[in-house]
Amino acid sequence: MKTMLELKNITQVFGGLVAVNDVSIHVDEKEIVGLIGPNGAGKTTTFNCITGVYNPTKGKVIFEDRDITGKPVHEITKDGMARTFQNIRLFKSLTVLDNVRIGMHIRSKSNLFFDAFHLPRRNKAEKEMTEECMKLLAMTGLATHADDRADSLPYGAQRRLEIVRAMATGARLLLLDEPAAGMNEQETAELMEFIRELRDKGYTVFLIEHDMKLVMNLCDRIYVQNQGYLIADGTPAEIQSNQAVIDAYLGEEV
Amino acid sequence: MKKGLSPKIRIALFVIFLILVATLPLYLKNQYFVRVATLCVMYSALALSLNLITGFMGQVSLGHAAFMGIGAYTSAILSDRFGWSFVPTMLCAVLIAAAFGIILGIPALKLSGSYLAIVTLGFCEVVRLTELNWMSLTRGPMGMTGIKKPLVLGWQIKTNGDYYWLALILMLIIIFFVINISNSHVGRAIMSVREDEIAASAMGVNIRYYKVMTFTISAALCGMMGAFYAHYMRFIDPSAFNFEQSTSILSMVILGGLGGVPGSILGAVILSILPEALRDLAALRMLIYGLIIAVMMIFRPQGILGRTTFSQILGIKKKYAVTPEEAAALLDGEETPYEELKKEEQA
Repeated sequence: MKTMLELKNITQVFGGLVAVNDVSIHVDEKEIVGLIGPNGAGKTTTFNCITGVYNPTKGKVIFEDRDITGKPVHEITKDGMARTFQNIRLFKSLTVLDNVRIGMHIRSKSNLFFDAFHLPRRNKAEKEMTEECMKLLAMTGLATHADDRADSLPYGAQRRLEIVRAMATGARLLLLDEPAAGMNEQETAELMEFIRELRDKGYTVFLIEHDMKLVMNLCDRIYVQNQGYLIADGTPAEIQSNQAVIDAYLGEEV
Repeated sequence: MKKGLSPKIRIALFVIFLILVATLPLYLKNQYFVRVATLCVMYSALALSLNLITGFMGQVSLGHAAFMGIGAYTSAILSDRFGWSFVPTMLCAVLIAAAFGIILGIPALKLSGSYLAIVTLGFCEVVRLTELNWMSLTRGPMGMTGIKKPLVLGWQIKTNGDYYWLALILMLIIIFFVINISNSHVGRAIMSVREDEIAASAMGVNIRYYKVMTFTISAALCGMMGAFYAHYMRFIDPSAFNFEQSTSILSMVILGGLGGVPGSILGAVILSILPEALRDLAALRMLIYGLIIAVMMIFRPQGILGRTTFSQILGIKKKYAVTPEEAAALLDGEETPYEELKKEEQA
């Protein structure tokens, strides 16, 4: 299978703290890959290195055979990967629809000139964009709330909206940072179903998650990070029986 | 307030209101009132241009009087020294103010909040001091006098009423641009910067580009009103474009409502009329003025109208939400953006 995303020996240092230490990860097309680890292991920092929030101290990020290390965040999104955030970052006071329409921003066929003069091309672009956004919202059961403020949605729906917004960018690779955080069992089950559907539609998913039930049932492969280092990788079954992982989570035997 | 009225009645009322506004000099015989009305219109336009930065993009600018001053001086100098007529001087004012907008937009890339406010404040002072001390260009503290009454495309502005109409036309141009921009993908990108910069850039919004762009557009519109101001007052000196002027424009935006077009206009009208209405109470004037703003900030921090749009006031705001049945229909043969892009590539 073709490799979609590859991290080559990524190291990220903040002052004296090595948050990510020599991490190499690869994600293949149409895979669901998980990244787990105790709190403070450097998982989100790894995500930030991939998406361009941080410029890694050492190492390379390769996305679809192109080196994207150090590229600005918005350009990496244009290349075809989009993310969600651990602590939901919706555009809170805008409507649900506008959130998704901003996700579609980079694919708009209009520009400042057409917008400012309200020319037909702007109207056409706007209409197409709105239709596509409504379909995306319908797919996740949010279409009935299109006019509501994003922060008025229930928690689970906000998480879904974030994923929809990321999909709207036209991304092929979705990076989900703790998508199930704060969800109840029912919502988590629905989320798992939704992520599987995404994979069936051709998306590749790379996710950070603490919910072991979700990770073990959903992921094809799992990476385990602890104190910046990758300590294990493999299928869910392999990870469950890996002594280093058990030690990291439960502490070593005395 | 007008909740019970149907859109038809609201639109009818709105049209009557527009006609009253448009014909104001015809029935208002008191020239003083016409001049106050002109000020209201001019400040509405200035507040609208600042609202792009402060309301829609969420960045504080205390330097807006500087753009107005740049526009006013550009226009006055071209008219005075080179005998240009109003429209070309105004276009130059727009361009030069826009150029300074780019210059001020660049620090805005790295700063926000109070830090940016201080930079814009400094910018305002630098521009004012330049105007004050560059004697050969601006005649410094003596100011520029005797600016000709404008001739706009064959229409000679003579009376106070003419000035009012000219201001109204310029304001309509600004309203047109501000509404169009705020209702489009560019406007949404600007608002996403206000809401959450990190999330906005993760969605592919080029924050730097939009920040500089917003400053540029706002400065350009402000420069346009500066050109009008110069030709309206027919006398300009640097003290008209000081920090106080900047804060008074900012107060209008904050009082009326951040991020809404009707709000800015209302705020500007109130704060233009108030000092005039309180003229008799000379001693208490600033006190009352300050009190109103303080009370507003405590009880209605989003401003009188907040982000209300004209379409909401008229009850014609488009609704997008659908029923669950319609949502199901939307899904027939649905493809994800990714699948669609793949198809487009193959085609």
